[in-house]
Amino acid sequence: MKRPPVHRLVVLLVAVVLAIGGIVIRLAVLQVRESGTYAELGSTQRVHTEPLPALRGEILDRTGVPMALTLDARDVYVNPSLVVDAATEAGQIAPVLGLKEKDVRAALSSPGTFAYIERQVDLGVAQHVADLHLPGIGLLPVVKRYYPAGPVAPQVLGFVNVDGVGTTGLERQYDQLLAGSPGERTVELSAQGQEIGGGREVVQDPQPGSSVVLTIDRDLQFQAQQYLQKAVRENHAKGGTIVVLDPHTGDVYAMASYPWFDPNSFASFDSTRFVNRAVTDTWEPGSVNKTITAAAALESGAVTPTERFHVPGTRQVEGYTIHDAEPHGMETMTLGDIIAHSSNVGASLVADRTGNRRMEETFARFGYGTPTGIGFPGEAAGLMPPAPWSHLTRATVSFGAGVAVTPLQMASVYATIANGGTWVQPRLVDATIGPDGVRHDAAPPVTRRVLRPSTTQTLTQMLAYVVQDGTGVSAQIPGYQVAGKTGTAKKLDASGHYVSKYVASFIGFLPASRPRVVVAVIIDEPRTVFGGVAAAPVFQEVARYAIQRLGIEAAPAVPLPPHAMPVP
Amino acid sequence: MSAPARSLVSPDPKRADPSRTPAARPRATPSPHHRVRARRGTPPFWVMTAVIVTAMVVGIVSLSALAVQASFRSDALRQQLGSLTQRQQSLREDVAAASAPSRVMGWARKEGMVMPERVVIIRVPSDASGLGG
Repeated sequence: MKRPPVHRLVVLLVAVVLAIGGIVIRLAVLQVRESGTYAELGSTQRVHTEPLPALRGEILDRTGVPMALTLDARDVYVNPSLVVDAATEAGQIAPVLGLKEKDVRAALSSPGTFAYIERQVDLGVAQHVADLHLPGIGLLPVVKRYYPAGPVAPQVLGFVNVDGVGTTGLERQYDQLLAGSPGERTVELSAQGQEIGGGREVVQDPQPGSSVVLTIDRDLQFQAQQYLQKAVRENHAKGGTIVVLDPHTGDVYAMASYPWFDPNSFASFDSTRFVNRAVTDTWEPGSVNKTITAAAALESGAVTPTERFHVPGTRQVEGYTIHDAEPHGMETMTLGDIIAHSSNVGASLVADRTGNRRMEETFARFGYGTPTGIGFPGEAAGLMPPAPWSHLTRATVSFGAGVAVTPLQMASVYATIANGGTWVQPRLVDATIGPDGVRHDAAPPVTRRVLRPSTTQTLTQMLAYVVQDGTGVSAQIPGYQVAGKTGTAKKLDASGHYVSKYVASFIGFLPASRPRVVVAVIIDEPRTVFGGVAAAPVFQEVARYAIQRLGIEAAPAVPLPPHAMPVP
Repeated sequence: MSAPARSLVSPDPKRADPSRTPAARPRATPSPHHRVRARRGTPPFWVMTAVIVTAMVVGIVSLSALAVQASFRSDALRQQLGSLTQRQQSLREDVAAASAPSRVMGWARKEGMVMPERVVIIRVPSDASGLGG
C-alpha cells in the first residue's frame, strides 16, 4: 500500500489544528469575553420585572374619616402579537369590562406588542378577565384613588390622574408625600410566560405614602355645600363660594365653590369646575370691605364710635359720583350706622378722615395683596391699587371697589376681628401620618397682631348691629348673636369695565362675644343682587348647622354701638 | 595475631539488635480464608459510587420536589392573600360609601327626619345639686 505524501499529512494536520483552534478561540470569546452579554440576553428573555405600585396615603378629615382612599386595581393590557382571534376575544372581554366591542377589537388588532384595553379596573372585574385565559391578555397591578363621599370638598382634595399623579388641589400639593415609593418583583418566566416554580424571585416591597389629616370637617363641608347649592339655584346664580373657618386656629372647616365635580369621575366634568375659587380667584369685595375702613379709622383714632357724620345721598369725588344703594337726603350717622346701613358715601367720608397712609397700612396688615400661605397650589395674592392713592382711589377702596381679594383672604379679615385682632394664617392640613403610623402635627400657623382688642370689640358691636338692625337681618339665628357684614359688588368684564352683573356676599361670625366660627358666603350673579338677601340666609343655615356640629355654646350678647339712626 | 578489621567497627545498635530488625519481627501471614473475608468486607468501588450517586440524585430530586411543593404552597397562599385583600378592600369601600354624608342624609330623609330649625347649646353646670327635686 502506497503511503500518502508527507506534505499532505502536514497540511491536514495544520487544517485540523486551525479548525480546532478556531473553535477553542470562539468558545473562549463566548464563554469569557462575551459571557456577560449572553448571560444578560438570556436573563432578559427569562427574567421578568414587574412594578409594585406604592399604596398612596389617605386623606382624612379632622375626625379621621377617610376622604380619599387608595384601592388595588388592575390595568388590562394586550400583546396583540399573541392574539389568535381578535374578534372572538373582543366579544368575550368587552362585556366584562363594560366597553364597546369594536374599541376592544381595535386594541387587540393594534400594531406593536403592547396596548392598554382598560385601566384601573376593579379587582373583581380583573379576576373575571383573568378567568377567561385569553392569549395575549394580561393584567398589571396598579392602584386607583377613591373618594368615598363623592363630590365633597372636591376642589380642596383635587384628584390624581390615571397614572396616580396628583393633578389638582391637595393631591397635587402633597403628591410627593402621599405617593410613597414603588417597589418591584422580579421572577423567572417560562417560554410560555408562566412563572417557573422555585425559580428566582426577588421582591422589593413598595414604600407606602404618608396620610394627610385635614382641618376640614366632612359633615360640615357636606352641609355647607348643600346650602350653597340650594342658594345658587334659588337665586338663579352663576355660582357660589363658601369658606368656614375657626377664627382662633385658622383651621378651615369647609371650603367649596359651586358648581363642583365628582373626583371619582373627574374626566366627565368641565375643567372650570376643578378650580378652588375660594383660594385662586379674586373678586371686588364691595361693602364687606367697609369693615376694614372702619378698623383703620378706629385703630388710628381718626374716628371715634360716637362721632357723627353728615352723610348726603351722593358725593362728587374727582368728577365721579358716589352714591348709596338706597337714595336718601342728608343723614346723621355714626360709624356704626355707616357700617350697619352700608353707606358708600359715609365710608368715603370716614376714609377721608383716616387718610391714605393709615388706610394703606391697615389693608396691608390684613394681608391684602399677599397670599395667605395656606399651602394650596395657585393661591392668588389679590390686588391693591399702587400707592400713592388718589382721593378717588381712597374713596372707592373704602367701600370695596378697586381692590380684589380672595374669599379666603376676606374670611381671614373677619377671623382677625373675631379673635381679638390677631391675623392667623388659615390652614387646611392639621397633621401627617407616616407609613409607620406616627402622627406629625403641622407647624403652628403664622400669626401677627393687626388690631388692638379694644378696636375689635367696637367693630364686633358694629357688625352685630348690622345683623340686628341693618342689612344683615337674614343672618339672625335665634339664641345666638351674629356679627357680620353684607356686600354687593359690581363685576368687571375682561376689559376692566363695570357691567350690570353683581356678586352678593355675607361674612360673619358667632357668637359675637365669643366667636367660634367664621362663615363667608359669596354668590356669583344672583338674580337678587343684595348680599343680605342672597348670601345672608346661607350664612344662617351653615352657621346653624355649625352650632350643633361643633357644639358652639350660646354666649352673652354684646351691646350695640353708639348710633344716631333710629333702631326699630 | 591481630583482630580482623571488621571487629574494630563498632556495631550499629539498631542493626545489632535483631529484635529491631523488621525482618526479624514476626509477621502474621493471613490465611486464604482471611483474605476472602477482607475482600468481601470492603464493597467494590462501583457499588460505593452507585450508592453515593443514587443518594445524591434522590436527595436532589427530593429537595427539588420540596422546593416545588413550597412554591405551589407559596402561590396558593399568595392567592389566598390576594383574595382576602380583595375582600377587605371591598368591605372597606362599602363602609366608606355607606357612611358618606349624602347616603346618610338620604336615609334620614326617607325615615322622615329633618334638620332642626333651632339649636341652642347650653352648658349644664357640673354642680347640678340645685337642679330638680
